[in-house]
Amino acid sequence: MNKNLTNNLTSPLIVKIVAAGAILILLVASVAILAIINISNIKDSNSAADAAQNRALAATGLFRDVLNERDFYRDLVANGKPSGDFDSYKSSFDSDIAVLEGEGKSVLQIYSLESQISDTVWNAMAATQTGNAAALSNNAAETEAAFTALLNIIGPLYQQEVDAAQTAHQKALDESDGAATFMLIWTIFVSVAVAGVGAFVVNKVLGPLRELNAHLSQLLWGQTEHLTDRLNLMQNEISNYNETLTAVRHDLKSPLSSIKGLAELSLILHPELDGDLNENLNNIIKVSDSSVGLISNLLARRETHLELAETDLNELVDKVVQLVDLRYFTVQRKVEVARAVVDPTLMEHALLNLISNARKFSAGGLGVGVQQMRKPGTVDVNEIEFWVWNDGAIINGEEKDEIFKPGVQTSEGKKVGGHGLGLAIVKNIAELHHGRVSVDSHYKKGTTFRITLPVRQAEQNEEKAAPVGTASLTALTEQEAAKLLASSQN
Amino acid sequence: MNIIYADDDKLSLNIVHRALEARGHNVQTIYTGDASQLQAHLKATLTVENRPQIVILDGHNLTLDETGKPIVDIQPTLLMDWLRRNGLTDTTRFVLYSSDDSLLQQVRANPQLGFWSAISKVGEQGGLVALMRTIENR
Repeated sequence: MNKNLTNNLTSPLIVKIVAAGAILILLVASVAILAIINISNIKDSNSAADAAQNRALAATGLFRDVLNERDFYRDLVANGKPSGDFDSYKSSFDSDIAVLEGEGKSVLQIYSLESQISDTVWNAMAATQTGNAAALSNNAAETEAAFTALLNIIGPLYQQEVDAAQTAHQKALDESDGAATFMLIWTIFVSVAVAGVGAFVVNKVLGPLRELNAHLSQLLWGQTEHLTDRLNLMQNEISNYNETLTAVRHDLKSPLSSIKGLAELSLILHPELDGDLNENLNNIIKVSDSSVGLISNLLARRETHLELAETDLNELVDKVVQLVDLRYFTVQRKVEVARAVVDPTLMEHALLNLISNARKFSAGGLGVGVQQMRKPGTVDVNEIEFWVWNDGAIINGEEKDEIFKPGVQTSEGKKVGGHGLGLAIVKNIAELHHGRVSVDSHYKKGTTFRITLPVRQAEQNEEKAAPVGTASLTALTEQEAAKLLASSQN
Repeated sequence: MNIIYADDDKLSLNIVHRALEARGHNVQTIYTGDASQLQAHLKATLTVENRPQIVILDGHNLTLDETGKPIVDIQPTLLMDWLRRNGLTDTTRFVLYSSDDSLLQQVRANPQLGFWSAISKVGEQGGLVALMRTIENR
């Protein structure tokens, strides 16, 4: 894991996340704040509009009240008796004018004129009660003039209040519409901003994790391939070592065989030999036998035992497939044989080599499977075949014969690297099982490697079937060798 | 008995030849150091008239495959297989005489390979006397 990756997971990212969080909070808060402000403004506008409307209504009422008072006065003067209720008109007038308080000079004038009118009307009403008809028309002209003046003041005031109400109402409407539009636009902006910030945060958090995952995956698959190569190298070293030992053993035993053979021949050809000569010849035979025993012990080679076990082939194939990076390949898997007696460790190694190879050469398609087979010329199903297929480069006829030899690679194989040991190992493992390997490679059909093994019974738990050059080595320690040498010389 | 002994060790050929002849057997030796000789020689030799009773083979025979290509250091089992396919093993017994322990074990463990016996050239249980005892006590 490199430093850059590590650094990305510490403070700069935290700062970015905190900043992004703060921006998100501010954006959401701004929507709320603006909403509150707009609602407040709209309320104020509505209140102003309501107040203006009340004054307009009051002005209208005032106008009506004055007209009612005038009609009452005229009726009173003309008929000598009231029609209506002046007090109610006066009361209404007082209520309406109270609404218009603060309208300045006009209201003061209205108050003055109303006061004058009220006095005259009450005097007229008193006159009707006393029957003083002459007093009814006192100040009539001035009263009419007062009514007229009052109406002349109320009229414009009324118009003024109505206009003000209309203006306030329109303003409230305009403010409401503006606020709604602004809020809509701002909300959309904030939503987009939140989504953008969120995506930035997610990307910044997940980006390093994705990179880490990619690094780990590369590390894992790289190690698996490296491990496979190392296993093959080790197997090859062991095979080379064993082949060398076999040659050494043969070279040491051959002269001993001749020595013993000559001694025995002498005894056969000359049975009459006795005494020292007979004894010496027998001693030669004995020493020869001891030396062979010593050589065998010093260079002891344990025959490779297949550790056969009844194996779940689905699990075997799955286990190997999981070790190989096949994420970007179309993989066919067809295991038609559930269980078989094989050495599971060796077969895993063999399949791992075949599938790793298939992956290297595949053009995208890869397959693995197990099926039952009949040995040619037989009737019963007596073989199982492990196959691995890929749709990559074809192996030509000449290369097919050579590729199972150690160190031999196809022309395509040399391009992708490796040691050329994998298929030799596979062949070795197949032969340990008394089986065989083969390859078919055709244009448009791809390349299929097969390991064909005889079907075994479960009780065949130990196998001593090591072809030359494939056994493992168990050597004596120096002490054990010295002990044997001492005993052979006694 | 008529005996054929094939080996790439000339000293061993000499020793066995002399020992068996001394016991009254008719021995024909074949040096297998030449890759092309053994198969042709055996085929020519193994006839009805002079069919040997015993064929002794060393573990390091050189032989040819069916295409005529020399197979270096192949086990005699393949030769046996060839002989069997050509009907040359009906009354002849084949003995492995080798210093290769693994080959000896393989032959002993697998009688279907067609060997009647496997004798080591060395060791307490092997050698010329053991070979002769095996042949004469068949």
